[in-house]
Amino acid sequence: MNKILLLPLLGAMILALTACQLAQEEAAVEEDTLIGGFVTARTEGEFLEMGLPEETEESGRLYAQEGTFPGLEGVYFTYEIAYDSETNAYTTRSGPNQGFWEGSVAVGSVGYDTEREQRTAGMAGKVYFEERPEVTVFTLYPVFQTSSGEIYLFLGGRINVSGEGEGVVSSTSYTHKSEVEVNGRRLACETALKVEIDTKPTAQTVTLVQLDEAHQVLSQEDFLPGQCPDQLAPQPETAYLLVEYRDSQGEVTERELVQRGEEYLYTAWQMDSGFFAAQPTELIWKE
Amino acid sequence: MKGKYLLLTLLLVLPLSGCQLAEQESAFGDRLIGVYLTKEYVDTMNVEAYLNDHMGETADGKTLQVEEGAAQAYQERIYAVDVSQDPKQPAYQFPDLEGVPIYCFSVDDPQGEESYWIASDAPEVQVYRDYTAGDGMDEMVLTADLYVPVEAIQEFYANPMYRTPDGQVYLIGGTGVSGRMDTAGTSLGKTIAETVTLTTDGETIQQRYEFKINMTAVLPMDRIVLLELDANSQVIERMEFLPGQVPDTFALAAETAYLVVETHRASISGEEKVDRALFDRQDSAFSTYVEGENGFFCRTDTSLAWTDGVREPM
Repeated sequence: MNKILLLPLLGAMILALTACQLAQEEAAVEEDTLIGGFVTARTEGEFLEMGLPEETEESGRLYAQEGTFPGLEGVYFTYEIAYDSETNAYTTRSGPNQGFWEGSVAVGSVGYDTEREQRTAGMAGKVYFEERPEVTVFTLYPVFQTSSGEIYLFLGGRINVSGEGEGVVSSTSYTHKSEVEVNGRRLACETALKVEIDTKPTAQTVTLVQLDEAHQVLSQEDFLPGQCPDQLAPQPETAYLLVEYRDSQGEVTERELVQRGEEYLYTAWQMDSGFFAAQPTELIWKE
Repeated sequence: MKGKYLLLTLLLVLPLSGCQLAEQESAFGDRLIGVYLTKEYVDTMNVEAYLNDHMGETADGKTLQVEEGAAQAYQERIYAVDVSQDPKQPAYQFPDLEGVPIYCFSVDDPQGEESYWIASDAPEVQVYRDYTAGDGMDEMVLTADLYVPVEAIQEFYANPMYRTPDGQVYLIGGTGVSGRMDTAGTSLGKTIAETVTLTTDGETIQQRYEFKINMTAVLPMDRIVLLELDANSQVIERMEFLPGQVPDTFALAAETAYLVVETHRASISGEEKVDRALFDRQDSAFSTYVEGENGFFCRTDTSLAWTDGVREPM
C-alpha cells in the first residue's frame, strides 16, 4: 500500500529545536541568491541519529568544497539565472544536475512595469530513489550563493518529506523572497524550488529493442545500467525503440517507448546514494 | 462614430497584451475562479458610460484610447447558469457564448468545518491542479491544456470568471492571445492570477489562485490503432478505430504485457505521421482526442481492463 507520511511529530520536534536559528538565518540569507537545492534520503534511524549536518554546523550553513557538500550524498541541482536590464531578458544555465530529471527553470514577472512588479523564478524537477521496504526521509536543502561567489547549503531551510513502500510519489518545495534593485527601483523577487520524489525498481539489465513499422523485433541488446552506448544508430527500418529494465529474475519491471526522430534516449542507473541518474544515448537515425 | 473607433482600438490592443501573467483585481468581495475561453472577443465594455466620463479628453481632437486597466470599472457582467442538478457541485455555462469553462474554487461546507473544491470538467481540457498550503499563504495553481487543429492564425480570449459572496458566477470580457499555429506543437499561453487576503477568527492568510491556459496545435487524427504485445514484444492483437470510435473500456488478453496506441495523422503535405505511446499493467486508462464543433479537440478516456483470464468479447 502506498503511503505518504509527513512525520508531523518528528518535524514539530525538530522545528521547535531550530526555530530561533531559523529566524536568524532567514535574515542572514536574504541578500544571497537561491541557486538550487540538494536532496538527500535517509532511513528513519539515520534521520534520528545525532551528527547530521544541521546539528553539527553551528553557522547553519554547509559550504561547498570542490562542488560537493562534505558528509552529504544525494542529488545536487543548480540553475544560474541572469537578468539583462538593457534587453529586459533573462538567460538561464543549468549545472550538471546529475540525478535531477525533467529539470526546468521558469522566470517572469507579475504586474510588469507597475508599482507592485514582482520578479519570479521557479526551478522544478524530479528525483527517483530506490524502492525500499522501510520509511525513507527525503530532505530538500536550499542552496545559496553569496555575492562573493561562495556556495552554501542553508541547513535551516530544509524541508523533510517521508514515504514508505512501492510507488511513493511526493513533492517538496521551498520559496525564498528577497528584493533586487533594477534601474534604481527596488523590486520584490520570489524564487521557488519544487522537487517531485518518486521511486524506481532497481534494474540488473537494460535491454534496447528495435522494432519496425510492423512491430517485428529487428534487434535486441542487453546492457548493464549506466553502460549503454553514448551513441546508437538504429537500423534504417527501425520505427521505434523499446527500453526494457529487467530485475535479477529477468522479469521486465519497466518498459518505455522511444519514437523515431527522438534525438536522445535516457536510461536510468543507480548512484551510490540510492538515487537514479540518467545516462543519455544519442540516437543517429538513418533514412 | 467614436464608439466604433473605440471598439476597434480595443480589438487591436487586447490581442497583443495577453502574453504576460495578468494579476486581476475583482470587484469588492468577488473572487477570480477561472476563465471562460472563447475564440471570439467578448465585448462587455459599457462604451456609452466610458464616453460619458471621458468625453472631455477628446475635446482637442485627440484620439481616445482605452488602456486595459482603465476599462475595468466599465465592464458589464455576463452571468453564468448552473446546469447541474446538484447545488453542491454546480456546473457553470454561458448559454449564449460559445466557449470552454475552466474554473476551480474552494467553498466551505455548511455542514462541517471542512472546505471542498468545485471544478469544471470540460472534455476539451486536460487539467493539472497543484495546491500548496503554506505559512500564511495558500496557493492553487491550475494548468489547463487544450488542443486545437493546425491553422494559420488562431485567436483566443481568456475571459475572467468571478464568484460573488452570495454564490453567483459571472464573466467580464478578457484579453486575448493570437499567433500563427500552422505547425504542430506550436503553443499559445495565457495566465491570470489573483491574491486575496482572508481573515478567519482573527487569523489572516493570503490565498492565491492562478490559472495557466496552454493551447497547442496538433494535426487532426486519421485513425487510432491499438496493438497488444506479449512479454517478447510479439503482436497478439491489432485493432483499428476511427477517431471518436475507440471504446470506453478496452479488455486486454491475459498474455498481453503492454499496449501500444498508435495515432495516425496526415500532415499538411500529406505525409503520414505516427505517434506511439506505451501503456502497461500499471496504467488504467489512455486518452484519445476528437475535433469538436467549437474548434477544440475533446478528450475521450478509455479504461484498460487488464485480466489474467480470458478476454471478454467487446
